[in-house]
Amino acid sequence: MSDADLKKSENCVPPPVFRHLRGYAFDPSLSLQLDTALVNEAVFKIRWEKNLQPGPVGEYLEIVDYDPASKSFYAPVDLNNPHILAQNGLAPSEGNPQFHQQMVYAVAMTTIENFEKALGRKALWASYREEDIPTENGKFRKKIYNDYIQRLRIYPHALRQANAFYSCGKKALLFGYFPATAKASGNQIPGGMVFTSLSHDIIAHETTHALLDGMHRRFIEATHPDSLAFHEAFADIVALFQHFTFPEVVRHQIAQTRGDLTSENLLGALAHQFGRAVGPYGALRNYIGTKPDPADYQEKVKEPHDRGAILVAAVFDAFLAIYKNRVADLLRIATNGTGLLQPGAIHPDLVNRLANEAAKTAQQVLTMCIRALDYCPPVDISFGDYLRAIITADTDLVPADEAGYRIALIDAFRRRGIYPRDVRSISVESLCWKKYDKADAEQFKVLERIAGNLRVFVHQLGYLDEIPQNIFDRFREIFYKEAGRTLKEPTDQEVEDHWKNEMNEREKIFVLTRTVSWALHNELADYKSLYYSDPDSEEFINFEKATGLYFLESPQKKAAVKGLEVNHGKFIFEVHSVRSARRVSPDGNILNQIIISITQKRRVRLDKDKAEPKFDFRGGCTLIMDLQDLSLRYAVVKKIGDEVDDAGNFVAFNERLTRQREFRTGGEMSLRATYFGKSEQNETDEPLALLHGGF
Amino acid sequence: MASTNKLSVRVRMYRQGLGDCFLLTFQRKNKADFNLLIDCGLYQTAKGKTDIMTDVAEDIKKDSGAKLDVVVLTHDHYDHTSGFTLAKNVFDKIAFKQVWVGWTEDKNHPKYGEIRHNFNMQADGLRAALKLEEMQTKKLEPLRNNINALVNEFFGFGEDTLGAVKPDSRTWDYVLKEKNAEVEACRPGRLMTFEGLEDEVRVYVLGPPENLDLIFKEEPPADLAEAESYRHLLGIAVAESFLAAVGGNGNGETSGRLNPKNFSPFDDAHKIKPSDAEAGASGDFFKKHYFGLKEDENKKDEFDWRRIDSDWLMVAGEIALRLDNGTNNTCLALAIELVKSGKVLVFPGDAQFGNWYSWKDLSWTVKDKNGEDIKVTTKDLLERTVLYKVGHHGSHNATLKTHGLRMMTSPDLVAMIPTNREFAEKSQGWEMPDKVLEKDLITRTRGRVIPADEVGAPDAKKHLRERCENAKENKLPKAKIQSFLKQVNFAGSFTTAGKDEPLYVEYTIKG
Repeated sequence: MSDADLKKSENCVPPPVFRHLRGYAFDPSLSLQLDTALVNEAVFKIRWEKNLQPGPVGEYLEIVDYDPASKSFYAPVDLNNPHILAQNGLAPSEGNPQFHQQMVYAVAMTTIENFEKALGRKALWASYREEDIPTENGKFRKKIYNDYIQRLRIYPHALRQANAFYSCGKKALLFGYFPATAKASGNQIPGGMVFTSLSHDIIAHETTHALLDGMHRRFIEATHPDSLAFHEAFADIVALFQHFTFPEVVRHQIAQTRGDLTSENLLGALAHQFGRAVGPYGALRNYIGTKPDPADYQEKVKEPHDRGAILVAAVFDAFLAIYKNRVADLLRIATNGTGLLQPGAIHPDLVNRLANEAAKTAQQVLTMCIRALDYCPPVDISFGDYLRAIITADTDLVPADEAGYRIALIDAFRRRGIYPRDVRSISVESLCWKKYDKADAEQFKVLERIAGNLRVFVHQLGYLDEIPQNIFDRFREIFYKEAGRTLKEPTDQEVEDHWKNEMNEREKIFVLTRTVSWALHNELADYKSLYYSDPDSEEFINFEKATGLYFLESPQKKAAVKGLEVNHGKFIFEVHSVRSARRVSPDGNILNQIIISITQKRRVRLDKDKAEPKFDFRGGCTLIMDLQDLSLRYAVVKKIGDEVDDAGNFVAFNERLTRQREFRTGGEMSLRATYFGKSEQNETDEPLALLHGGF
Repeated sequence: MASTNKLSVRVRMYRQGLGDCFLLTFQRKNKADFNLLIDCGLYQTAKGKTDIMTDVAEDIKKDSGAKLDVVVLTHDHYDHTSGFTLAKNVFDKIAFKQVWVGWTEDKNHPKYGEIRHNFNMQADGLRAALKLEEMQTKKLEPLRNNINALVNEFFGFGEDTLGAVKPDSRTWDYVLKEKNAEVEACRPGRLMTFEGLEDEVRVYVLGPPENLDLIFKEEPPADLAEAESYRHLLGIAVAESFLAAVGGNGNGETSGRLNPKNFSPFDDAHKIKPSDAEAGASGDFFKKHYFGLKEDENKKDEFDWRRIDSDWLMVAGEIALRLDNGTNNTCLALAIELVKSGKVLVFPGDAQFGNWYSWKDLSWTVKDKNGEDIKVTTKDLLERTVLYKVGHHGSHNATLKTHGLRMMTSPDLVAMIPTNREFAEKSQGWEMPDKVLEKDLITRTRGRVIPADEVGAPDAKKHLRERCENAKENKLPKAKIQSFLKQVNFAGSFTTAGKDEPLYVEYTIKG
C-alpha cells in the first residue's frame, strides 16, 4: 500500500492502538516441553507505532542485525508487511533471524511502556557518553558528548559468548549467542545454539539497564557494594514481573501450582535456558523462594548479580505476601471457609480469578518499584535507600495503605537484612524521606527562583507545539552550536521551523530539559550576585544544609569540602537532571511533580594519608517539588561535605567517603581486575559488560 | 651447615621477584642434607632476569653441594620454571636425582590426550585472535597486551613461537629429559618418600585432580562461591564458538578441530555479506543504520561510535584467563609431613579452586609408631599445617577459604608469600597479594606472614615483628614473637646491579 493510500484509509479507519506480535513468553526451551509449549508462545500487545520502519526501526528502538563473528548481516524485518501484519508477526522460530528481531523489538517495547506508565512521562535514553580519542602521543583523551539519542540500538547477534549487555558507550544492547555446554542438562541439546536475544528475561533485563541509565547515569559507578548490584536487581525485577503480563502463562502456572505461587514455578524464575545452558543450576539467580538470611546481604554476598538477587528476592517475597493476602477470601469462598483446597485440579473459574489477582498485584508492585526511581538519590544508591524511595513514593501517591503493600515490602526487606543505616526504626513514617511542607519552603527564597524556572518548564511541556520563546536563545545555542548541526547561524525562522517540523515530542522534551537545567544552574550560580553578599547567611546555609551541597564559598566551609572546585567564589556543581512526573493513584489521586537532581564532586585522596592516587567522590540531592504550588516536598540527600563543627573546623570524614575508600581499596575485585588492572579505562569502559559471563 | 640431633627443615624462599623458587633443606644427624627444590622461575617481563636467576642458581648450587635430591615442577608457567633455562649454565653443573611432576605430564595417563587437546584448542584460538585485523585497533591495544601477557606466561617464549605448546617447551625438555633424572609423574592420593628419610618425612600428593571438570573449573560453582573463594567470577561457559569464528575468519590458521560451520547461528541463506551490506543491500538499510551514507562523509563519525565490529573480541581476554587458570589447576600440590612432630608444610603451587576442592576426598593409609595402619585425611594434614606456601603469589582465587585456609588451625601456622607487589602492580596492574586474603592470612597466622618482598631490608625483620605486634585480636605473646623471629633469616646477596638486598628469606622448622 502506498503512503497516499494509507493516508486515505487513515481518514476513515483510525490507526490501531496495538500491534500484536508473537513471541516467546520465556525462551525457546520451554516450547520443547509438552506442558509449557502452548503457553510459551505469547502475543505481545505493543503500542502501535505509526512510522515503524524495517529493522524494526521505530521511535525508541533501532534493531540492526549484524553478527561480526560470522561476518554476516541479516535482513531487517518489516513488521508492516501485510503478510506479517495479518498473522500477528512472524511465527516464533530459532532459525529465522527476522523473528529474533521481532522478538527483541516486542519485549523491549513492552518494557519501555511499563516504564512510561509507571513514571508518567516519556522515556529518554542516556545522552551522556565519553569517547576515548587517540591522540598523537599514543594516549587517549576523553571527549564528552551530550547529544540527544533518539533510539536505543539493538544488536541481536553481536557476540559469540554467553553474555548480553547494555553498552553505555554505544547506547546499544548487545546480545550474544553460544552453543550449550556439552553436559547441558534438561531439554537443552548439547551443543545446540542458545540465543540470548530470544529470552524474554534477558531482553527485558538489558532494556531496563538502558532505561535506568537514562534516568540515573551515575548508578553505573561502583561506589557501594550495592550500586552495580542495584542495577542488576532492578533489571531482574522488571523482567520478573513482566512474566505476569501474559494472561495464559499466569493462568497456566496458577493452575499448575493450585494457586500457590510460593512453590517452584516459571513465573518466579529467570532465564531458564541460559541458566541450564551454562551450567547445571537451572534458572539463574534463584534466591527466590530461599529462606531469608540477613547475613547474606549484610556479610556474605558481594558479587553484584548475587547481591542483586537478594533484593529481587525481597521484592518477590513482598509480592507473594500481598498476593496471598489478596486471594485469601477467594480461597475461603472456594473452600467453604476452610481455606484448604481439595486435592486435584482447581476450578477454572478460581484459576481465572486467582490469575487476575496475581497479574494485578504484579503490575502494582512493578509500578511501585519503577516509580521509586524518581525518589532515589542521584548518586551512591544502596538497597536501603531504594526501600526508602519505594515507601516514600507510595506514601506520596496512596496516602492510605489499605492493602498493606508498604508493610509487606518493609517486612520482606527486613527479613533479608536490608534496611537503611540512617533510620531509627523500620516503620513507614521513619522510612519516608524527610518531608518538607510549605512553611519550610518559604524559608528558602532560593527555592522561589527555582520555582520560577520550573513554571516556564512546565508550561512549555504542556505546549510542545510552541517554540519556547523565553528560552529561545539558549535553545538555539544547544541546537546549533553544541550539536554542530550547521556552521551558519540560523535565522529565527529556521529555528522555529526545525522545532515544528523536524523534532518529535521526545526530542523537544530533551531540549526543554537541557534548557531548564541550564537556567537553573545559572540561577543557583548567580545567587550570590542576585541576593546575598554573605555566603554564611542563615538562609543560604539552610539551603545548603537541605541539599547537603555547597554553593557559595566562604572560609567557614573550607575544611568541609576539600577537593571541591571553586570558580569565582562559587563551588562547581551540576544540575544533573530535571524530570516531570504525572501519576494517578488507584483512588484517582493525581500527583504532578518535578524532580530535580543536583550533584557535586570532590577530588579526594584514596588513602587519607597519601597524596596520590585520588578519586572523584560524589554527593548530590534529589529535590522533589510539587507542581501545584512548586513547593519542596522531599529532599533526598547524599551529603558531599565532611563533618565540621560550628566554627568550621574539621571533625571527621564524611561517613560515605570513609566507606567508599574502604570499598575501593579493600573491596571486591574480579579476577579480570586482578589481571587486567583497575585502570581508569577499565572502570569506565562498559561497566555492565564484564560483570561476568552472564547478563 | 651444622647438623643437629633432630630433623629440621629450612625453607629458603628466594627473592628474585614475581615468581616461585623454594629450596627446602632437610638436615639430619650424621648424614648429608637432603635438598628439595620446588620451582625456579621469574616472571617473563622482569628486568635483568638472566642475571637474577643466575644469582639464585649459584646459591642453590653452593648450598646444596650441587646435588638436588628432588626437583618439583609444579606446573609449566614461566614464573615457576624459567630459572632452569635462564641459568642453564649453572644448572648444568647441578645434579638432579629425581624430578617430580603432576600426572598431567604423563603421556600414558588415559586423560593426557583430553587435557592437551583442550589447552591446544584454546591456545590456537587465541593465537588466531591476536592476528585478526579487527584486533589491531588502538582501542584494543590493552586487550592485546593483556592476552599476550597471559599467553606468554603460559608458553613462555614470546609471540613468534606461540604455538609451541608444552610439554615440549625448552624448560620442560631440559629438566625432564636432558637432566637425565628419574621422573615421577604423581597422581593425587599417592604417598611419596624421600630416599634416606623414609621414616622421617612423608609427602602426600594432593593434586592435580584427575577429574578434568575440576581442572577447568577455576572458580567455584555458584552454590559454593561465597564459602569457597575470596572473590568470585563466573567462568565463561563456552569458548568454542568464539574460537571457531576466529579460526574461520581466514586470517588465523584454522585449527581443524573447530569447523566454523558448526557454530554458524543461521542457515547460509540468511547471510548478507558485509561488502553487500555496505554496498546497499536491503534497500540501503545497513548504509542508513550502520555504515553511514557515503555521500555524507563528514557525518561518518556519527555512525562509527555505535559500530560493533570488534566488541565480540573482548571475550578473548576471558578465554586467555581461563587457559591460564586451567594450567594453574594442573599444579602438583604437595603436603610434606615431618613424621615425628606431625608438622605439615603445604606447597600447592598455583592451584586454584578445582585443584584445592578435589583434595577433600583424598586419604592415605600409613603406619603409626607402633606399626599399626592409620588413615590420614586431607583434613588432618591441613589441621597440622605449620607452613603454608601461599598459592599464586597471593591472588584471590588460589587459596580456598573453608576447604583451605580456614582448616589450617594449627597455633603455629606461618605463611610465606612469594610475591612482588610492586612489580605486579606497576608492570601488570595486578593485586598480589589480594588484600582480603592477606588480611585473613594475617589473622590466621596471628601476624606470622613472610612476604618475599618484605621491604626495608636489613630492617625487614622489624616489619615482621610489627605485623605480629599490631594484631588487633589474639595477639601472640612476646616470647612467641621472639622465637618466630629467630626462625626467620634474611641473607645472601645479589650480584645483579641495583639489587642491593638479601637474596632470600628462610624459615626453619624443627621437626
